Amino acid sequence: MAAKETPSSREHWDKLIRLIELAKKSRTLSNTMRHGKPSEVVAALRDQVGLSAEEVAMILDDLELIADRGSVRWWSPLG
Amino acid sequence: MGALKLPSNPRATWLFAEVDSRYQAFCARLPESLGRMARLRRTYLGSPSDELFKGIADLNPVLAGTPWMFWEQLERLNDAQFLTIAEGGALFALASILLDHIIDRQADQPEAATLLHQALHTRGIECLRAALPTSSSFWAHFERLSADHLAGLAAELDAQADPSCMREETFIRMAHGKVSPIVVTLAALAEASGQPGILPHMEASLKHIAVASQLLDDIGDWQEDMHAGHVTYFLTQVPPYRNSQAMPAHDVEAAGAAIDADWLDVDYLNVTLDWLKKSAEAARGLACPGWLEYVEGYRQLTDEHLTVAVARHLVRVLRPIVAGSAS
Repeated sequence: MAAKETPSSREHWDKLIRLIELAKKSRTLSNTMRHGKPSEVVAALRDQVGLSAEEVAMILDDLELIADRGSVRWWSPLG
Repeated sequence: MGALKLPSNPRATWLFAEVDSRYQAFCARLPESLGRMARLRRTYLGSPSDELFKGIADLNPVLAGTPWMFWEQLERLNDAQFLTIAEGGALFALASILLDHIIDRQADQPEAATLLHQALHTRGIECLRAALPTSSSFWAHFERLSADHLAGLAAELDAQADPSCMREETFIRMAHGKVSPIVVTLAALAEASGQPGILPHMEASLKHIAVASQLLDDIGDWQEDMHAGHVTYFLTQVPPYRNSQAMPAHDVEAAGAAIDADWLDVDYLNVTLDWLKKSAEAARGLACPGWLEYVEGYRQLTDEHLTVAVARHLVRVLRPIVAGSAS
């Protein structure tokens, strides 16, 4: 994960984590992300996560770093 | 993650080593070619090399390590009882691994594997007979769990022949069947230690984790399964394969697009987490910190998979929106 130093980037990081956690657990947000129009996605991110369109652009690279974590091992409890 | 963490107790360590040495003694009594096979890692773990099997420590801890994962609940058993049941349980679990390989056509010498399976199974039952009298209520559990095992394997064969058989209840029956030989060990230990009341909790916990385990396997391996034409419950939930009578051509790209469109990996990782939570809840009242730590480890691992999957989908959804608003 990228190191977070400045107060503003720390705030973006917190929002990024909030976005991921909400998308994991909230059916409403998750459904909008899956099937919503771009304008609905932007509105949901603003209203439910507090992310402006500009902030979304700023967190995308960090989001991609998390998405690319290839080291997580697919090892099942009984495998 | 994944390795057996023995209780910090010299007696537990000694008993574990003793079961391994009993396995070596079992191998030495087999006809030479079967003994050689029983000492190879690939016989049980499918590794392509001629590496030697290091014994039960080489296996996933749930397969033969449950007597130690529930140690605090079972340590009241004397050495002889504990060892005889742990040995029998380990051989019984190894026999079931071999049977899985034979049925999946993954055994590299199926005829010899069948003979080794019989030797493991027979010796496993001999140990259980030595530890528990015929009057013990363990034997009713043994019959029930053996029937579950058989039903699970038969359901798997049916689903491979006809994917429309692969419904949620079939999938659960298969997972429960797969773990039944392991539950046999715990049933024997519960009865021999005079604690029949702990079995339903241990059994439920094992069965729930077995469902989670199978789902996690199927989500992680869906591309390999599709290439191999192996029918899994997860694949039958992907729209191109839903309600189909047979697996269509291996169109990995179309299946990947369907998984992405509906975030199916996210949905089924959440289902996996639910089963892991149930597994932990079922064992909550027992003295089994090692087992609970193990289940929690896999809950965390599954949650990490979920984080990665959600992030991947979010990038896919948000990149075009950001690019569109910038242009």
